[in-house]
Amino acid sequence: MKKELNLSIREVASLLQIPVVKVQRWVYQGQIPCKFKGNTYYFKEKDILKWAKSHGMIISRGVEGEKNIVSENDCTLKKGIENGGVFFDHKGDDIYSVIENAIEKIDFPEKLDKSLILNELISREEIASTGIGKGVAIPHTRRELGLKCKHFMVPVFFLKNRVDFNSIDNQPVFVLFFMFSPSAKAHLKLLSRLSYLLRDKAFLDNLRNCRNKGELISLIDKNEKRFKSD
Amino acid sequence: MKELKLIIKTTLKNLDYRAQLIIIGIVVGVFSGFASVSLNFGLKKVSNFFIKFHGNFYFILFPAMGILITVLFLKYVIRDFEGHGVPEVIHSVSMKGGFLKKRSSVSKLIGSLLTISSGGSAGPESPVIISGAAIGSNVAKYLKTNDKIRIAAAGSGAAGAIAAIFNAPIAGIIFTMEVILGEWSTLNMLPVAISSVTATIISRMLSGNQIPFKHHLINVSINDIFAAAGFSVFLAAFALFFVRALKWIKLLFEKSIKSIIFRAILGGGLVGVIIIFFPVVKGEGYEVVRTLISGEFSNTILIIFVLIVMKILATSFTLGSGGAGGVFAPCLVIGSLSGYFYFQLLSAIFPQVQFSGSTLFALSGMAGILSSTLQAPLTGIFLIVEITGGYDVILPLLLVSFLTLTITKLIEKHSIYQYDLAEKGLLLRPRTDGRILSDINAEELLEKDLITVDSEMLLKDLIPLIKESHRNYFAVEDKKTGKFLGMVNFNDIKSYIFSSDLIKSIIVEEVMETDFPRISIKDNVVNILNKFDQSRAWSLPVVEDDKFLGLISKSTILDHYRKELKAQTEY
Repeated sequence: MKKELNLSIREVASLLQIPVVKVQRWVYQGQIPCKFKGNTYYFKEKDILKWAKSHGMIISRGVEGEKNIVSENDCTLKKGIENGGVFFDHKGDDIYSVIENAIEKIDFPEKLDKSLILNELISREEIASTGIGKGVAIPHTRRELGLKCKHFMVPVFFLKNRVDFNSIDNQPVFVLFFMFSPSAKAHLKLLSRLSYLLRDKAFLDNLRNCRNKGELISLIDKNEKRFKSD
Repeated sequence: MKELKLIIKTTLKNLDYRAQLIIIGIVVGVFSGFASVSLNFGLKKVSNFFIKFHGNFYFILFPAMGILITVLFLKYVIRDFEGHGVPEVIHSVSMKGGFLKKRSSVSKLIGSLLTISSGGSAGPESPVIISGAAIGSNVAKYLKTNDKIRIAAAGSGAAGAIAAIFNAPIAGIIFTMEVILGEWSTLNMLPVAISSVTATIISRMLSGNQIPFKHHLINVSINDIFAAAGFSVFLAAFALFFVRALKWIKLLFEKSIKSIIFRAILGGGLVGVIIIFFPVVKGEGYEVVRTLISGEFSNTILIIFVLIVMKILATSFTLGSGGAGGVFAPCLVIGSLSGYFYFQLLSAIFPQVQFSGSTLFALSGMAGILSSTLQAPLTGIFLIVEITGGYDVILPLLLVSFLTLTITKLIEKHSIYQYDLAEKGLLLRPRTDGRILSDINAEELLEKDLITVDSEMLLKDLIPLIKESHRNYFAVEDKKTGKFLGMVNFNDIKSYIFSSDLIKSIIVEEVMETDFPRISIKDNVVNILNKFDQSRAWSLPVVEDDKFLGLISKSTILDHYRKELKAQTEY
């Protein structure tokens, strides 16, 4: 026999999305069904659900409409770079070729269509350059690729030759941070972190001097620890 | 002549609304009174004509023919087949400003004449109600009145009809207020009362001042009071059986027989079979009620029980297969039979106890069945008092009426008039939350002072717009097609707009929200509020054909609701 669930006043308040004092008032007025036990009262879940339904109230459990695929706290640059990989001496003379060559090397999960991604990346460059200055560019697609969050990627490509990216400060680009984020919010967060880090001259120098993946990751990690959860 | 008409119309329209209502009450009362009297007259005449067929075995075919002709007449001749009489009036009055078709003034009158005189088990009251209401509605329509007056006029017609057909003016008023209009307001009561009085006068002038059932002096003892309480339980069972049978048999006919012709023939055939064996069950059954009240009726408990069941079935077959008629009269028959049944039962179980007699229970039974089937307890009480000409039994009437209703309501939430409306969400009583909100439409709530941006706009170009707008939201449209894509919420991007490097490389499309429901301009406020509830948003966009029209904010809905409530309430 299924045990009948009893709810506390707090649980009822949360279920109906109302403050506890309102539930209390409804009890005193006799509006909401409850059971008395000594000096206190409690509610039977099935009575409350039936009452809410017959009064046209929508019961919501948990937050809807928020894509909690992963908590934004898990989206760090470090994780993204670890997922995406770091590549050195990347070949290419212009925007198109560096991006095209990069797509070949990136290991996309879930069998995504690479030519589609390439098109999206290029068309995004055409709207506005992703060169955010100081020799760094952040190519990304306009729409999310539908990557599940644990596969979000920030593949990093250090270029063999500097390439003109039409950056906002007109400096040629030496490193690409591809941003394949799971949501607009995550994208913004990663972006703002990178942009913040790039303002630090020391970070920029260390970035230019990176020779292998481990160096980059420890550099990023060390600096990212400065960010409290934001 | 035309000018004279125009002058009359204009003068009338500009009269104080109370004077208008009085005039409407009188006019509607006269016409609805005539409608009732003519139906009664017609029924008497036709049943006299048919008397010679009684006992003839061929009578088994009569109901089938009658219902078939009714159905064909309603569908093809007068084309007023859809619509169920009283529920249609209730819906019109609560949601459609009281508009009713002109032809409804006569269609169901003729239909029920055909159905009832050929033996169909139904009453002439519901058809007369819709006729009266339609008369009232169209008088108001002719005068081009506003919604409120038209609704009052329709209600007056219904009141007049009931008042005239039973010679019961109070019942007419109470029925209209309790069932049709659902509210007791002074604006409504004036024309309703006038119409009721006028119609009763017409009825008395033409048919004489008689009450349908003779008055019998009854002494009510304490035993009877206790017995009445117990009676309510039995009565509730019969009432529930009646209501359920009506619903299910109708549903059964509609689901299993697609052709209305076959439905009519089958239903009528079944009725014919029943009335051959139980002739008591046919037609309105007032004769039966008369004998039950006067105490002349006599039969065994078992037969009574069978009669009750047969009457319920016959009525369900008659109405479910397309016959025209109402449930008032069958309620009276079932109620009085139940009373007699209970009295016999009591006398058998408690032979030593003195009860007042079967009449008291017959009367209480009628009130109880009426109250629970129509869910109109006051109508039940006052009708019985008026048609039997006495307050003697008021105590058991009160008890039985309210107790039976309470028990019935535990299981059947709505009356037979309301259940199909309620299921479709069409039952909205005046000045209820849902009713007030349903008046407000999306267009009234639309806020259009939002700035739209195209999807490829850089954040840096958005900043001067942020300065310009008083809003936190911006609508994003596709640069090429102009289609609505999403909303940019300033709160989301606040933290990023202060870094000059980022704003030059982020486009609006990358930071907009897309995961929310959209409102359609055709949505009613109840839908809109549901969308708000589900998404927990405070503002939602109105999008039509992929085009952004504006925003609706949850907070302004409260403001609109309060204004609407004030507009509809007088202090």
